[in-house]
This record gives sequence, C-alpha cells and structure tokens, in this order.
Amino acid sequence: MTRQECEKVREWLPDYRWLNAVERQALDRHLLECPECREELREIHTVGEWFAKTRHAVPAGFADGVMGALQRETRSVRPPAGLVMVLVGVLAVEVLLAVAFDVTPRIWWETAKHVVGQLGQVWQGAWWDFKSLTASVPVWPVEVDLMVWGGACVVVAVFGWLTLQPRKAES
Amino acid sequence: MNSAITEPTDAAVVQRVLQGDSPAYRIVVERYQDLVFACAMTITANAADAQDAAQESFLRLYRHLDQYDPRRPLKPYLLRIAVNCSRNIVAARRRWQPLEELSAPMAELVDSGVSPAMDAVDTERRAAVRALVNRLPQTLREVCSLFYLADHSCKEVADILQMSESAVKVALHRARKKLLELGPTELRCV
Repeated sequence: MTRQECEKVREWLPDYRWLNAVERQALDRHLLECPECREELREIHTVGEWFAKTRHAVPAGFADGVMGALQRETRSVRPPAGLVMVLVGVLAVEVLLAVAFDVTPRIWWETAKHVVGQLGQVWQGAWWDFKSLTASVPVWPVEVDLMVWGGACVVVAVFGWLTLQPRKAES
Repeated sequence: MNSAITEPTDAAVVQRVLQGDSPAYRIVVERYQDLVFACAMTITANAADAQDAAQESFLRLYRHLDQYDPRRPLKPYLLRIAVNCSRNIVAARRRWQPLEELSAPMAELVDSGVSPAMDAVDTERRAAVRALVNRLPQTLREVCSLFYLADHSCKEVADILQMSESAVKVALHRARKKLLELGPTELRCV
C-alpha cells in the first residue's frame, strides 16, 4: 500500500456509488487494509447524510403555481419587439417625410396607384418627385389623411403595449 | 403492479408537450419539483428565492423545450437551468447580504408546516445543518447540492456546471473538510 495508491483511491472515493463491480472490488480491497482511506469514505457518507437532512419539501401547490404561470404566459400572445420597432420606425420616417416634403399617406396611395397604372410602360417621371405628384393627384379630404395617421398611431400603440407587458406571470 | 413500468419516460412526456399537450408538462414538474427546489434552496439559502428560482427553472425549461435533445437525460438539463436561475437570483437580490442573515427564512419555512413530520429536536438539528451548509461558499454549495442532493456523479456534476471533473472533486473535498471542521460535535451523530 503506497501513498500513490491512496491518492488514486481517494480520487475514486466520491464516485464510490457509481463504480462498477470490478472497480469497487479493487477499492474495497484497498479500504480493508487502509484505515485512512476508510475514514475518508466515512466522512463522505457523513456529509452526505448531513445534506440529506437539509432537504426541503417543496411548498404545497407549487406544481399548480407553475402550471398556472405557464397557462397565463401561453395565453398572452404578444408580437415580437422587433415588429414594434419596425412599425415605430416606419411611422417616424413617414412623419419626417410629411413634415419635410408634405408626403402624406395620400401621396403614398396615389404614388402606388400611379406606379401600378404604369406597369408595362416606361416610367417617364422620377418616382421621388413627390412635389409634382402632389400637384397632380386628385383632391383627397384632409380628414382621410387624419384617419390614416390616427389608425397608424393606434396600431403602433397597441403593438407597443402588448410587447411591453411583463413576460413572467406571477404565481 | 410496478408504477415505474407505467410511468412515461421524460422523453415521451416532452414529446407530448411539444405536440401540443401542454397539461402533460405537469408530469415533469411533479417529478422534479422536490429536487429542483432542494437544489435551489441549497444555493440561494432562502425559501422565497428558492421557490422563485424553481418556478423560473420550470418556465424556462418549458420555453426552450424545443431545444432539448430527447436522447439525453432531462434531469441534468433541468438542473443546469435551475443552477443558473438560482445564481441569477442570488446575484440580483442577495449580492451584499451575508448568508448568515438568510438562515431565518429557512427556519420559517421549516416552522411553517412544510415538513410537519419532523419533531422539535430533529427540526433543530436540521436547522443547524442548514446553517452549516450556508456557510460554504456558493460554488461549493452548487457542487454539493448536485452531488449529494441530486445524486449525480462527479462527471455529471462537472457537465452540469461546465467545469472539469477534477475541479468538482477538489470542491467536494474542500466542502467536506470545511463542514467537518465547522460542524459541531452533535452534528456528527445526526
């Protein structure tokens, strides 16, 4: 029985329960002859028993709490934050365009109609020439513009509110 | 009849949940709740934090269930999540609070009737052991909870905590020596 042998055995000792029959037999042979290693194994068992004493029973209704939280979480389907960011970005760009170049939703609508109407033909004008488009589009009441603006704001607000809801439901 | 034969395996339950049978997840919760709570309790040293960590562990497992490889055992995967949740809670709530101050909530939990079978002397001994365990550094408590409470081998503990097997053995040795050194004489005959 050498010091090296003891060191090797002590490396195995924590995993005593998981050793196979052959390994355990070899270890047991050593333990029979080595009181120091036996003491080491006894200490491991003692500490294991102490830890067993620290075990807590889980609070009553814990599983119900988890399942309830899961249900609430699954019910609240929210749009991803990225989508809201895109919507806010589009709205912000539109506000800037409207303020700087008077490109209101009406202009976008008329541009789209114009482009679709020109499909198959060579586009003569510049698509970014919003001023000329503004001059050529038919009259669209300002109330319609306001409704489109209002609708966009409501959509962004609702998506934003849904996304900012707390993700973790309380038990 | 042997109940172990009829109980569905973890992989089968996970498969059912992934196919839309969400209520089946209760089987996983009930199967591992004691273990997850015990480990969280050892790491956080606080009943309320342990409950939060345990609940968050199960919610997180559910959210990422599609990433779980059913060929591997579920228990170590869940315990890794539990350790991370417990660490987060300890870091967030208890960063500057010495662990000795946290023994009171643990005693409250014991006294609140959670474990009604324990008699007064036994309760006292358990409280003393818990106070002793709480004096260990967090890393040692993590290793010990997985080794002694969750009954994992050194290699499995190393996998869960993503450290080397020899580091786990060193941690176990240090924890053992420290506990035996700190432990009052009466604990030796608990």
